[in-house]
Amino acid sequence: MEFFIANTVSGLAYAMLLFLMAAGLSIIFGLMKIMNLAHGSFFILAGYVAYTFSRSGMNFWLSMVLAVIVISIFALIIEKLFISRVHGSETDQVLLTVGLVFVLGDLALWIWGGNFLSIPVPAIFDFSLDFAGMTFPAYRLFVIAMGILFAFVLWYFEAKTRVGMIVRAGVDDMEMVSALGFNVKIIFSGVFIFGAALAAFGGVLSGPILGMYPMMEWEILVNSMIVVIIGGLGSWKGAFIASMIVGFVDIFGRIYMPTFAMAFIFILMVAILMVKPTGLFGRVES
Amino acid sequence: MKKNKRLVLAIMFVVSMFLTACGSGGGQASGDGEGEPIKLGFTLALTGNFAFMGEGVKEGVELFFEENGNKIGDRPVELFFEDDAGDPQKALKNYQQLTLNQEVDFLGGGTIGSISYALTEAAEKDKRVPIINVVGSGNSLSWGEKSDYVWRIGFSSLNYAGTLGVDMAENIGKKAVVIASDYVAGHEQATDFSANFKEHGGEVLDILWAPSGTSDFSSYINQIKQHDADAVYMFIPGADGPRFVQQFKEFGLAENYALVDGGSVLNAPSTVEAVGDAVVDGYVLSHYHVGLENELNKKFVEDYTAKYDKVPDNYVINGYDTAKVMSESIQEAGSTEVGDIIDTLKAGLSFDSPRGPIELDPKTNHPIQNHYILKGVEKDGEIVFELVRTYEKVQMPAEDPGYEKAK
Repeated sequence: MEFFIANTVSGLAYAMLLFLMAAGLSIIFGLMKIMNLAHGSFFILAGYVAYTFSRSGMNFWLSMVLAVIVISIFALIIEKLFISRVHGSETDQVLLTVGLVFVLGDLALWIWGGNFLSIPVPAIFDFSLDFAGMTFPAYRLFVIAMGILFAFVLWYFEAKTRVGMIVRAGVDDMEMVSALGFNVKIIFSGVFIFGAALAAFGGVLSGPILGMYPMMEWEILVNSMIVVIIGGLGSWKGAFIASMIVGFVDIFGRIYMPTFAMAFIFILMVAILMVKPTGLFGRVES
Repeated sequence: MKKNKRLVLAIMFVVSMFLTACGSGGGQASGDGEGEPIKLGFTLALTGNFAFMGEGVKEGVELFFEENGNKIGDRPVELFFEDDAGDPQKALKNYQQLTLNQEVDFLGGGTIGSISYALTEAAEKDKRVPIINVVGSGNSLSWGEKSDYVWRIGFSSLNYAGTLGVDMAENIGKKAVVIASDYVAGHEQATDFSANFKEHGGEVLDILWAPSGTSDFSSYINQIKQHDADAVYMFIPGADGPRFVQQFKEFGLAENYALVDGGSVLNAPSTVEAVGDAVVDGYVLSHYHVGLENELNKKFVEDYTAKYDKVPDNYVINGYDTAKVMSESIQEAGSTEVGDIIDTLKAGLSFDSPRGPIELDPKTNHPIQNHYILKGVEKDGEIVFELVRTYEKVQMPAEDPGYEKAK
């Protein structure tokens, strides 16, 4: 039983990391129809930037805030310079953003080198909790809390705020929203930056657990894609549920069927797509 | 449309800048001695994930020839370094280019296992040039896949894992859990460790296979906790290794289990920097230790630190000794003909290295050398590795001992 509980908590922590990776990607694609394959690069760059700040003596929280700001500004530049030119053409978006992944990856290799780097756990969470014979690092519990908090914030933003309403309307009928006097371009830039900021936030949060190293952006991208595909594009709800499923399948798969640990998740993905091609919470396009 | 074209041009410009910047430098002619220069070629991982290994080897080679006036005997030395980024295909291209275009007399390469196998196959087929395998640790390179043309200067999986198996059973604990990366080298290590550990009275309670690229080890850690073991043997190379070490500490395992590493992760300077005190009390085996007390090592560490402002690691010593073997064998053969060099190596070459005495064993094309058990300690706020035990003259058996495969 203890073993089961310990792994459930582990699974939950992993699921929340996956959620933070995937939520931004899902929102950007779902709302703007932009296939941003450089999403993983934003995620890992944020970790690197926060690492640099924390090495220069700043505490974890300040480094996190600054890294999120830096990546948001960076995303704004990328959006204005490149992404805005390829609106409407998914092939171009894929080619462009894959190119970005390579360039940003080499840039990171050049600046931060090829070694594994890790952000130190913030001092107030640098301890383990013992209960019922299990040990659990406090920082992971904090990550679980942040994941749930962010799911709540996203729900609130989408369902209860005026901006959320405009964004939802823009997805359904961009011309109409534009005709009503809203600046669609600004909305789109805003959503893109918000998605990148989410990735950056996740990147810094995962820094003390996953660390950063070259080519990790692909790992993040593949994980995010799986979550987004299972959950359905454009739905934070889908991303949240899918993260939980993938997290638990991964953790328990590794224990009970270790040789199939990797295949398991893909089998699950295929199964879900066979039953529901749009993903669990994906909307059917008219 | 015009705008787009300009953008494409701009991108192409940036990309071409990158390519030029990354392009490898040509030969570094050096020395002012008499006669035709001796050409030494190297294909190493100088960019990408394994760059820290290739860079170390390169630095070691350069340091050796700097100390020796860039000469072998009285002939100047010309060094060619090519980057293979840890890709066997690129390494083979470099091999062709170095042996056919540059016509090098001696080649060094094999930053990772798959490359050393690829180079061995090519060398055995072409018989063009002798090769020093700088890192690749696959056991069969000393047995079934052995080639007269390829000599190893690093270590073997069996030497590392086997010695640790013996040492763990005798000095650390009789009950162990093994966690290894789920690929060829991981299986080889787990097998070699388990067999030797059991032979000396140890008991392996469980073997966990973690796929390469595992980022979250919590489920494996929970499984380790299920066992009443004394120690955990890990072989998890690459970026996964430091992650595991960090999580091992984070989940409080460090308090109850001794951590023993067969993959040179714990004592890598980059790991210590990334995970800090998580390496304290961990054991690792190495064929080199920076604190070894001998004159050669003192000079080696001094010279290296003066030149690069850091302390040398296993890869630097491999590069340094690679250069030493090249220099010694060419001088002893009195020729740069491939046949003469091979004959010299086959007659047995031994020399003193900063890592201790080395004998290149012609039965296995593998160095007979000391292995050192190191332990992480915190000393005056700094984390260092201390020598706890030495295994002298560890050698490869001439034939595959045929251990039962670990599952």
